[in-house]
Amino acid sequence: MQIAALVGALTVAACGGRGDSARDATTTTRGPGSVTLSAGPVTVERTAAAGEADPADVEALLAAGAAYVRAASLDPMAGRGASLRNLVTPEAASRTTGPGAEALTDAGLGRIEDVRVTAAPAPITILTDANGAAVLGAVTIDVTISGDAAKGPVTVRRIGELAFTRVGATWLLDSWRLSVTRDGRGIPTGAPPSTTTEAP
Amino acid sequence: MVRRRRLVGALLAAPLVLALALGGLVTWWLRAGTLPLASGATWMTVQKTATADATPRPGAPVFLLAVGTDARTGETVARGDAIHVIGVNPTTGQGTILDIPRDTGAAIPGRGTDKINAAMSAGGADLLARTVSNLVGVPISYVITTDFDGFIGMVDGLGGVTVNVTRRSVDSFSGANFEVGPVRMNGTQALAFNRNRHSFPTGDLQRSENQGYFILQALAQLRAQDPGPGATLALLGNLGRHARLVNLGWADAYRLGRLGLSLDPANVENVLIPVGSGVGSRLQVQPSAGALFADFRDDAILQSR
Repeated sequence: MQIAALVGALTVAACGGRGDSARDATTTTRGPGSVTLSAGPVTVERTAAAGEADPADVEALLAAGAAYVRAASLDPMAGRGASLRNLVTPEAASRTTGPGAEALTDAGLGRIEDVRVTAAPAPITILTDANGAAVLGAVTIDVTISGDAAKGPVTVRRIGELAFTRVGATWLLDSWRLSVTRDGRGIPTGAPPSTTTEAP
Repeated sequence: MVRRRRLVGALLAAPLVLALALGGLVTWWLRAGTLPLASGATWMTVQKTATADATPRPGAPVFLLAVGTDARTGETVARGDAIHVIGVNPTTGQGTILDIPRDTGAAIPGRGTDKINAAMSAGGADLLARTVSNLVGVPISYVITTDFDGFIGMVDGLGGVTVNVTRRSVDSFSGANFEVGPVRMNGTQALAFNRNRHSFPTGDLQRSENQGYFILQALAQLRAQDPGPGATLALLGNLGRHARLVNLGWADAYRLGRLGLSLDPANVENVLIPVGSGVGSRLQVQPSAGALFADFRDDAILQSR
């Protein structure tokens, strides 16, 4: 079931032009809205005899995971809304609000300057159908975002799994299991607490 | 032998089906380092019913039917002898298992009144689902069906299930031979436990309830593995080789698995529907079932108990 994780990671790095990122312990990026995920071990779960990890699928899943981090954390930290509307399946859309939303996004944290994102390599699991095509994928993230709020430094660490389903040529977020820790003097009063969420 | 096999298939099917539906089996296997995947044998059929809501209301309860048939190798027509309606409340993680004895009299659409297990042989999973849906008053969205052979593979693959035996059971018909106390059952033992009815004064009623109990025990153990989305994909990969999906795609199957995993067995009630003597060997649903079903159908939780 396990494919060669390192080969997968390096393949992704090559395809994605990330250079050494896949071999580094973490990927660190700076700048507004900037986040990069590199692949950790890649596992393919096959519903039929054949099926390998297509580097393009791995790349797309990493991009989908990064898009989530951008929309959930970096956009609100830049003063924009945390909108996941275009990133989730219709089935999951109703779960992006209400209970658990505080772990899903960093809306309410306020504006953060000098943002730095550190991401551990993201293990990926891909499910292939009878034709060997990837139909579902799970990305495990460990992302730490630090920066400066008005009242001091802020650090947000989000760990967990994101599950994506392929809808046409797009990978959309369908379920998640996330835990978030928010620390620092800059955390505003009344901001979302450290919490966890899972859907379903 | 025929009788024995029929009972085994019927009684053991539902717990195994649900165990897989809950999604921890593969995780268990992976951690145990054994993957009995080589045979490619079909363990179950997972079917989305024609009446399943394509766009269910967020948070709405989901009802599925777990059926164990008495089909033996090569047979395509079988009776549904282990019948359990599982209601899941995705908002609260609570749920209910309604155990329906196979001899329960029910109106089978287009067939008149008969034992409910006859619906399966008369019209397959669709007809059984409609029959159960009419009886209980809930929309059945999924039917998960297994048989004797499929059950054996699943139980052994699971690595066993620990059951707390509350009554000493020695039964030559089922092969049950259990002392009181916790017993880690392998596939054969689990079969015997689930098909045994001669050790109990209430016979098949207790057996049906035992099946529900077995389901919960399996669920508790599977949940203890705490499988996440990635592990659920591992489950689906295994299902792809051992299950037949009807009217549903992998995204549906994934959501079904996650739904099962959202169910906390500690918050699930296992309830035998109230039945009594009826016409001939048929059991008759008691009037008190009306309130039970009404309580069940709104949110899959029994507030009245």
